[in-house]
Amino acid sequence: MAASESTRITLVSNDGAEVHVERNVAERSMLIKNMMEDLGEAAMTQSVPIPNVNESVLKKVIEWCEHHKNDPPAAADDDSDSRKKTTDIEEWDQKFMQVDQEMLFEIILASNYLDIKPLLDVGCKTVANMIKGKSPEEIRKTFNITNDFTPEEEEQIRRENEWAEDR
Amino acid sequence: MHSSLQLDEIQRLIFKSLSPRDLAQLVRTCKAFFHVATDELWKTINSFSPFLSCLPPDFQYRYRKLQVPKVQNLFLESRAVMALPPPFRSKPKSKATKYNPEKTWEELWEEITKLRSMSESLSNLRRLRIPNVEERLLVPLTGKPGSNLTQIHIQFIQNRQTQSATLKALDGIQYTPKLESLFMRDVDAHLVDLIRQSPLKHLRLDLRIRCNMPQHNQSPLPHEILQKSTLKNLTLGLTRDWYTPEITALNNKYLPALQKLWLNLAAFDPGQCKHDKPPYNRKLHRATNCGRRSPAVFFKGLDNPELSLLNIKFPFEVTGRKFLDVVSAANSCRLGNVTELALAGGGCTNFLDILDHKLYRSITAGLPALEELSLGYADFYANYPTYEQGIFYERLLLHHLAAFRGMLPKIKEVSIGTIDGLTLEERPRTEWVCVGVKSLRISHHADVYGEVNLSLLCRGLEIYFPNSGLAKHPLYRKEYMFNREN
Repeated sequence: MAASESTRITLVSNDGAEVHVERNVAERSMLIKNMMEDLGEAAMTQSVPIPNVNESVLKKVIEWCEHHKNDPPAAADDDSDSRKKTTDIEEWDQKFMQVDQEMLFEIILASNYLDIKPLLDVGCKTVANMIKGKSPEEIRKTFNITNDFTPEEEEQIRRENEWAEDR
Repeated sequence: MHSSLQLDEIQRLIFKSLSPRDLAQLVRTCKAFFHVATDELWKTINSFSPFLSCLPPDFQYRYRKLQVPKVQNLFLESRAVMALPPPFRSKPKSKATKYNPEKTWEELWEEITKLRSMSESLSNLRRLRIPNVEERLLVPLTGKPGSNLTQIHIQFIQNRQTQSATLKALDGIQYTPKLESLFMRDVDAHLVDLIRQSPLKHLRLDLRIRCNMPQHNQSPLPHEILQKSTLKNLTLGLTRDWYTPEITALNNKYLPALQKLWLNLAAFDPGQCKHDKPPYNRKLHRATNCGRRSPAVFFKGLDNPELSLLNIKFPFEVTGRKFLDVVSAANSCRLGNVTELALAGGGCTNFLDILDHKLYRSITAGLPALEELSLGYADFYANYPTYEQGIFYERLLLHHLAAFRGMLPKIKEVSIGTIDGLTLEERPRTEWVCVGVKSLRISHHADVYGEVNLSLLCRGLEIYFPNSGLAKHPLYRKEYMFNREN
């Protein structure tokens, strides 16, 4: 028990909430991992500020890290743009991402900031799945986007990229 | 829209897993998505049509009818494109506007190139054929990787500004480890590099050589071509540097693997030289007899290749002696397996002018495997003002042809230019009958349309070429009126 206690660290969200988490779970974040290495023993006694993430999002991110704490490290080539066109997501991750859109994008931003590539990947794939098969108007409606093209501009763009419509 | 969706980095991560169809919808959604989605969409192009989609609607509509080919066989055929009005120089829209301020082709392609992420486009290109296209249409091809190219055929590019402009489109093709077939009409340093580093088996070089047109190619024949030991098929016209008095054989023998040779001795015509500057003036050319010597020098330099096809096109003003010199020099190759022989004279003389059995035997003795014989079929297009525009075939004497053919037992197909109706015999000699000839093609007849001559022709064909089927319809295959008075 003592050993377990000694591996826990405290993260502080941007709204001042303290979140206690096992060190190996928190180190799914490359940002935190590097920070811990820089701080050394001091990291065990002082809290780690996470200034860009609020409490609810941070807890959600930690929940993902808890579930995936034993995942093997990502392969080296996963880091590159391997032009994979798959948007397959594991079942648990799919349920995890069943949140409102605001939370989804906050998770994406947080995982990007915290440098948790697998989570960022899941978040982006979730958004990609929301785009798939939709028309421009449906995409706008889904993400509350204003159409800032003139009809002429939109027609010109449609024509230039028409070749991709049936691919 | 959530702020994260406005970040390029996040957009790229989301868009990279989408299909081209979904990306095409995204680019139209809003300006915030346009650039990243466009980059992603244009990263991998599998067809030439995306480039053409950027053209004005009228152009696109017409081009679609051309059925843009798959990328592995990019065949730029612009006959229909040529008929189009320049799309960006349309008539003024109103009288108040002098010029339509639309873009030129160059500006358009430049913009497309900047706009589109082209690093991976056309990377699978294997065969590139450009029979006739405007130079500016080739801009999208600049900088394309050539690692998979096996064939490049560029026949004609319009609007060439400079000699090097022809190959500008291929400047980016630096590494062509698979290129086996190349067809070009101009030579420059880049082409020489291409030849040097490619495992070429087929090379066709139809150089444009005109004494009086300095904008056409004047560069010498690159020795890199002759030193290409992998070459099996070569189509070549001897360049003007071969017609100087100083021409000598190269130090090293060349082209040992050659199997098929098409040699054009009519590519350079000193008769068209208007300038008196040596070494290309007409008088010097005649005085030094370069025209006779050069092809012989070329043949003697060959490294004893074993040919299966030999096609020699002689100049329009070829003399009988030169004809024989060249035919004799060709014996420096191994001709024992030649199955196709084509000797195309210029319309005046050839070795069949005289019935010389000894000469015929000396020629046919080296050609035991010959199956197809084509004589006097030159396709010369006379551009001289004193001649009418037309093709000139040299006349052949039917019985001389039969005598020559009688010494080549395996011949099955014979193709000749013009049968001379004035020299037909009344009594064809049955000892020269060519039973084995199944196909006789006569491109033209001269002076045979009178009743007497026509019957002589029928009789001659019946005796000499009984199995060709031509005797019943001797004029059936007439292709061109040589003498309009007939």
